[in-house]
Amino acid sequence: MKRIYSFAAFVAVLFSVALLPSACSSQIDPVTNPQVTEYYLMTLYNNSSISTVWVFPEHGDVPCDVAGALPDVLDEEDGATVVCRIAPKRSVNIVIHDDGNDSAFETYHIDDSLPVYVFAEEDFDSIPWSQLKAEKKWLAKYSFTVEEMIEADQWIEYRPNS
Amino acid sequence: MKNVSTIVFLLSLLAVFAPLSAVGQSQSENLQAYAYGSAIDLQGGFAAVPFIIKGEARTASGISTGGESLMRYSYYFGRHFGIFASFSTDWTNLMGSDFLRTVNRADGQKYKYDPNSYDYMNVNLAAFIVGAGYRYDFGQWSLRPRIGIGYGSYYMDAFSYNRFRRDDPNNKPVHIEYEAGSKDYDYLVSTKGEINGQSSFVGFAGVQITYTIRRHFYFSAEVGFKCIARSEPNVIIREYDLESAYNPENWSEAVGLNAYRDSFTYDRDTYRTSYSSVPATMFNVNIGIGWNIGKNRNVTGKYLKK
Repeated sequence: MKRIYSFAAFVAVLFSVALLPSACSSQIDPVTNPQVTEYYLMTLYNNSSISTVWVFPEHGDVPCDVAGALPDVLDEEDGATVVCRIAPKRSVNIVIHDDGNDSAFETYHIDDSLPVYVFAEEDFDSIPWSQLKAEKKWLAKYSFTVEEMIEADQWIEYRPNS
Repeated sequence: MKNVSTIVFLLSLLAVFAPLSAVGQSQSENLQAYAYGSAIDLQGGFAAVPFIIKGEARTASGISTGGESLMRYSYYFGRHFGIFASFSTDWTNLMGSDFLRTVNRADGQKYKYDPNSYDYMNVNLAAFIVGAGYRYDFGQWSLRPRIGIGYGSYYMDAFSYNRFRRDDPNNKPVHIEYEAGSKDYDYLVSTKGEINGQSSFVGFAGVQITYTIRRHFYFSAEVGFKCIARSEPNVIIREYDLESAYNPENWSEAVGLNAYRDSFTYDRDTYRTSYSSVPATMFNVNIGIGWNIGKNRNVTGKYLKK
């Protein structure tokens, strides 16, 4: 009888140990289908010893082959024309937020080239915009298709005499 | 599959006990010292879980392999019959590529597969089993078949992959997920992340052979078979059509979202489900050691035939 009780006690202990795995659960991360609401676009790097102003004009309501001209009137705050001031040897990251405000970058079609003009900040602040535009007083002008920007690793660098 | 498992289980019992019933009638007088009463086994070894996939072309089979560890207590009332209780854990691993090799055969080599992870698929079982055993000793050797029934908890890793048609690369790929233990409830938007595992009755049959070295200590080897009972399919298979996640609308999105060029997103309107079952049988080959705890009641000649 004593052996039967011992055996029964042993059985009870083993049974309770065996139930432990069933009390455990594993959480699997649910499948998500995230909507992309913001993304990194590019980095602008001023590799010079002077402060610069970078201007991205919007496409405008014109044919693509003539799009990208500098506006007649420049308003830094309107958001459509992107204006970036970058100190010497500094860079700026452009991140696009899906907030419904179309910046210049989003007005260009997939097959277009995105233009950018680099001015000296001293000229930008002292010379009237119409004169800057008429006399083409920019330090550099670049243009990138989608493929060219991806090949450049989304990095635009201004270097004097480049 | 459930009926096949039951039939195989019963046939294995018959194969084990039928020859022994004839042997038991002609006992030799070779009795192992310290051989009666309690015995403790510790064993470990090899586990294999066969599975089948019903594909578009045929039903194909595969096997997942791994290991087992086992502790067992046995008590022999006399020279032959006894009872036992055991606790075992089985784990089998299957590489995603090996699983998809079986899926590919089942689907007739029509698709290319992209698993969402190349991690192993694991099928694990922890079971507590009690039952009856018989022993036949011949010299230092002992043959010990057992049958038992118990309760266990099993777990199967979730696994998912994307499937692309070989003859039409532009055709929309399909995303397929296998998840064990989950159910769809109509009052929940999603049940993903529910408990992945279930408990079930487990049947066991096995034959162990031991070699006693000294009075108490023996080596053992065993082949066994576990059958997991299920009342309903318990693997949910979810399918979605996929569409490209790269749909830029302008220059900015074409550059900024370039990383998604080879990515897909779910078309949730195409969600569909089907059901299958976790593999139901598990085969084991173990080796181990044991200890005869009992006192040899044959010293007094109590069990010797006169």
